[in-house]
Amino acid sequence: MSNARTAEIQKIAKDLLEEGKVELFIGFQEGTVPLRSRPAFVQAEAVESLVWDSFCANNLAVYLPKYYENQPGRRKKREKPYPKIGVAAKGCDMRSIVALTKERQVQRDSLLVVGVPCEGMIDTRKVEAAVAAKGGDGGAAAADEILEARETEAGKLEVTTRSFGVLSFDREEVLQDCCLECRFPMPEGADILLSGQARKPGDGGYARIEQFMKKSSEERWDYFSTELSRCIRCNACRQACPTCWCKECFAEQTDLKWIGVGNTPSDAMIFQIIRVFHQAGRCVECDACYRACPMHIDLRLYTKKIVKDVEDIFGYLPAFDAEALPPLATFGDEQCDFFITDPDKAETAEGTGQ
Amino acid sequence: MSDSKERTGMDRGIIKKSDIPKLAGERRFFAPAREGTVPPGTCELQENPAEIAYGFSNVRAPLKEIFFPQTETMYTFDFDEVTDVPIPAEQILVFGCRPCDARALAQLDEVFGPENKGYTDPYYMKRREGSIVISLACSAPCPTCFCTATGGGPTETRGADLVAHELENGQAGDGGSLLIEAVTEKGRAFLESHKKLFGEASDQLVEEIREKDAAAVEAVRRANELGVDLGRQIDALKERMDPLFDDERWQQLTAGCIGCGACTYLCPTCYCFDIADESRMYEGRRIRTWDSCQFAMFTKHASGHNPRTNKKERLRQRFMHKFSYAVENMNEVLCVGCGRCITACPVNLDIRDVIRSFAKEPSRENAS
Repeated sequence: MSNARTAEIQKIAKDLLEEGKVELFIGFQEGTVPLRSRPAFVQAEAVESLVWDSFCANNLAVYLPKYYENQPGRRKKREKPYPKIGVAAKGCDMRSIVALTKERQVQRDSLLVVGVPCEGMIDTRKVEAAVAAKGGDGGAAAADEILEARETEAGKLEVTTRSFGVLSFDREEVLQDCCLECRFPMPEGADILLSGQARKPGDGGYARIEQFMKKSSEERWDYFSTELSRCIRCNACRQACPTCWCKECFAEQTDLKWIGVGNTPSDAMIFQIIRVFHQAGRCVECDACYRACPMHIDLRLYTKKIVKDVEDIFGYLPAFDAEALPPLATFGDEQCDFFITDPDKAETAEGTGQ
Repeated sequence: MSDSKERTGMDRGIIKKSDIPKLAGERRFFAPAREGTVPPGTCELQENPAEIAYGFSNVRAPLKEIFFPQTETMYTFDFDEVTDVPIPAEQILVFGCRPCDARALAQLDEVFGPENKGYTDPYYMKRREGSIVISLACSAPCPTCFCTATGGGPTETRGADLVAHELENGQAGDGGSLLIEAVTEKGRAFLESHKKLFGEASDQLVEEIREKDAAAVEAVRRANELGVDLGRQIDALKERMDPLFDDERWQQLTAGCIGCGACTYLCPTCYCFDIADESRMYEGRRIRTWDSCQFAMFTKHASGHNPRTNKKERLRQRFMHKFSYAVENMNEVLCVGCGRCITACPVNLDIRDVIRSFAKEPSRENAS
């Protein structure tokens, strides 16, 4: 399946580049470590390096805004027309492209989106955890036991390890949670769509949030504090996020200065709280932040919570509709402010319509 | 416990793994542990761990945090006065860091220590001066290790006061034992003062260990042939990179970068820092924090001008610093080949690609 996809995407990219329909194609190439494919920026001569497999997890939309930036100091005047860019997009990448278009960060008509019906991407951490578990209680095996990984035609993942030989996993058991929960694996509105099936849409994964919200606020705070105590303020979560396109992040403003620059727990927590709040109505649940975090902080819990809140309260979920206005960009007279004045009511409300 | 006749008794000895915590005494004691790590199975340096971990490839974060904390208060102030925060003159024992991380510490010593044109960093040196570092030699390096290409190796001794080797032929039930050898005078004295815990190591055993060492070195060499040996020729990369500062390959090599600081913050040799004031109402503190050349703010001037405007320039700076400027300033390559930046990078941007790309270039003499 993935071999067929690789061939198809190479062919499409080659044609687009050779026919001059795009100047650059953004896809994936083979990575240098097992279980990873990495973003690739290719011209016609390098299309053979493109691949499509279950390791293409990165959200490629993160690279797009910079191509459509206006020149600094020269407002809204461009010397050259916007570049034509081809990009491979899974469901989540496509949702990001739609969101970025609404926020005027990409020019949709100079973008050529090659949609890939998504079968879900493999979670490096789940595989590492499964391999580590092989080592028993002492965890004699480190996660970086993994020497090599490949997919088989039969939908298995085979992992060559240093101490346990070749281990085989069902794809389903090592897919990313965001893929298992994904409601939009099929990228709607792509300009060209690859053949093949997308996986069956998931249920959105709100159950975990509901479970979490049943805990006392102390327990929730404890969990948040413990997770964020590992934060090293490397900004990988912010940088990996397609939605975090601000030229100047609040965290870097020095006049006024909102938060400190160190890894003091309160600074790390405030940074994350504000980052997540800024995602309201914009987060597409691609888990780029969660994947990027080198300290493996459970960021997806918080982004998912904000996605759920926005859907519950405003009935809005950023998907493929280019016309639907995000809640932060609109205010309707039927929208009341009970979520501020009476949060208990907000918890039980079934959305308020538009 | 035989007191040996010669000075070998002070140079090396065999110790039970279970006796390692006894070496700490009054010192702050850091060692690798798996307890509570996320995800499970990973290892990190923890203070006074309940159980010391072995059999890991490397700990998640290097030991720079111990001597060069990410956030450090230098002094506090209010309207009337400035109060110095005393620099802790801590006695520290680090056991079980990998040799690459110990070597990185030797490099940080050159940056923060008196060797650096007379500028000594008191915060770093106060902690460092009384410290003892016992590194743990690698036998099975992980796939992203390339220490041998940067002039080090899995059994390298530089930066450590003592080096430990795990012994396979421990007696059943005793949890295994280690051969510990002194590298520095400080290490020798430390061994001497704890000699009750050590048994004698035979020459034959040491010879066996040496053979294993050679095999480990060979294993890393084979796994990561980068086309350059910075141990034999420190400026091999520098002389190829310098003339290619404006080469278009930088665009290609850095295209995927998203501009986070995961690589620099997990790098054992990256040492850049920032100084900031934090104040609220009537009081405040001046802190020193890690900083990263990958952040746009890193070089932003007060005027608003930024000499490094894009990710290409910032990433090029990171690699040029490591392989060119550091060679110029301290006759060192500021990379020990631990591979953390490779595994931590969200987009799999691989420093080995950069090294390989320039290593392929003909050297300056051959080219001209």
